[in-house]
Amino acid sequence: MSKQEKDRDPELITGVGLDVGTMNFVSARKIGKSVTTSRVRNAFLDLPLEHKRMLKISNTSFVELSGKLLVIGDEALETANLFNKEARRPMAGGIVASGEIDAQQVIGLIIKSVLGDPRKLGERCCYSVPASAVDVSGSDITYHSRVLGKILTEIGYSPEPINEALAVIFSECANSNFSGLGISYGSGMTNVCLSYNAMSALEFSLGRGGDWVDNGAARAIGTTSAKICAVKESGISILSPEGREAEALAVYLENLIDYTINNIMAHFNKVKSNVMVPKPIPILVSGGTSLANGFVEKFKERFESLKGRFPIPISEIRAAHDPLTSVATGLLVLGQMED
Amino acid sequence: MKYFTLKNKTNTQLYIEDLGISLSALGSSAKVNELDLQNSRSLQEVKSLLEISPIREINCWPFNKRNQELQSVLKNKVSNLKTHGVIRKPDVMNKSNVIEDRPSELNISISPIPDSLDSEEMSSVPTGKKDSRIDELIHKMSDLIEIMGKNAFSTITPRSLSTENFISNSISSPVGNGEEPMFILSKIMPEEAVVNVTLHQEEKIRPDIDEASESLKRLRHKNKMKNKK
Repeated sequence: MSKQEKDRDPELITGVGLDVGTMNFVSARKIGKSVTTSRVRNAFLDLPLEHKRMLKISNTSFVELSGKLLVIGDEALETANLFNKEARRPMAGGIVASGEIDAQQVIGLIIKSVLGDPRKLGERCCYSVPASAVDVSGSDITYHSRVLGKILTEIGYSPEPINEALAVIFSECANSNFSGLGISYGSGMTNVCLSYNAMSALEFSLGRGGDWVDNGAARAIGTTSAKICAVKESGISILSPEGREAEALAVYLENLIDYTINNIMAHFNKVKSNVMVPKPIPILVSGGTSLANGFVEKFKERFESLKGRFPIPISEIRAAHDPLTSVATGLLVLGQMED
Repeated sequence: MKYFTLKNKTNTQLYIEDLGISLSALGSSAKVNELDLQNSRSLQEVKSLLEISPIREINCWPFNKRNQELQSVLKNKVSNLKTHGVIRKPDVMNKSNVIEDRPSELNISISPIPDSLDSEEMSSVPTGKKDSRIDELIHKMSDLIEIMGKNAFSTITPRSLSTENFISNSISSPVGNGEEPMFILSKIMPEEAVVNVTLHQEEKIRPDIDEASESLKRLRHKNKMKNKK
């Protein structure tokens, strides 16, 4: 099918990207010449059936499942406040939460909402998966990956799992021949991938991300993680934080940056005899946790402090075009590629 | 690669891939009848195996670091299955501990297969509940096989509950030859559940996405050719 034909009929463009994050699910789809991204909060709230009337009155959408009412997505957070409850999260630490017995079905519903129906049966859907965490004992993504694949198949897609940080490279590094060091600072974990000519040479994840930052900051100043998260999302500056919460957040964000750089150095040193990086490559910083003002500047500052001890030649350090959607967009790049 | 398709009355399916594992069924006489799926001569044997429930132990060979690491994954899965699974250490494989762990529906141990089990424990589930227990067993087995992966373990030792045939006409012939097994996990998506979720949508003109797809395609082709050489 020619490009002209596709431009004439946007419905003919197939392939979709899905970023499966602990905090948000983001899909990316090509419609004509533009890319549409859809984002939804990965959260839910379960309520007993007697609250059905109240939900209807407040115009809150819900689904009735196994004798319970489930409010899903952003509305779960809003409704949780109304009922003085805490919204639940179907994922933790970057993977399907093991303790949440409703998690898989909720994830299924969220995915269906954010992706919609496939444009044709078996439409290709590239979805993000983390690498195993090097600092979490027994870290294993096998089950997580298969559950997501199963959900996508049930909805009618042909699923293909792709490393989250590699997706950042697909999205941002076409100019450097898909060579780069992608870092995706998510909520549950941080993913790292060294790609050279579109081939992954090193990938791993760290069990620290936005949640770790929130929890650490909350403990430090004696407040709740939810409050800290709200402060973080309202926008803070890591370079000149104002207020106790922001200061605590800045400390933990800086620590997360150092932790990432140190781990990249340590893990690259382990594989350097097998990996050749002849030309300098860019570092791409992405993910919701990197949205704090000054995050990339701080990253550069910490990187510079190494004074050339970083084992990979680096051409530049830059933020992704849109840190919240770059993984989904990178997955779309691959998803719409015809075999 | 051979694998078997097993269907029960509720159309639950299990594909047992040619895992290189052997399944051992304990009969009422507490003798171990080994069934090697790689060289299975009789589908009847597979059927007999699935008539027994619940899974009594999953014994992992060899007892190594990898299998130890699998414990944490199994624990997670067990809680998802709403069971009260107990992950036992190899040194507790004796009868008294087995009895202590009786509230569990699913006991998983990482240890060599025991020589025998207490025959009194062979039957404890009321007949009426057996059909659902068979379903559960199939789910558990398929999930566990999937979690533990190929060649990760060698023996599953379920307990015999009855000689009654619960899943007659439920096993088809071995299917596929090199085909990928399609189904491992049970159905996830709820039937006819529709929910209107608020989406944050954004539309951006991104001609670079098409270009990136094209250059990625070219590069992958180039890499492929290079690898062939």
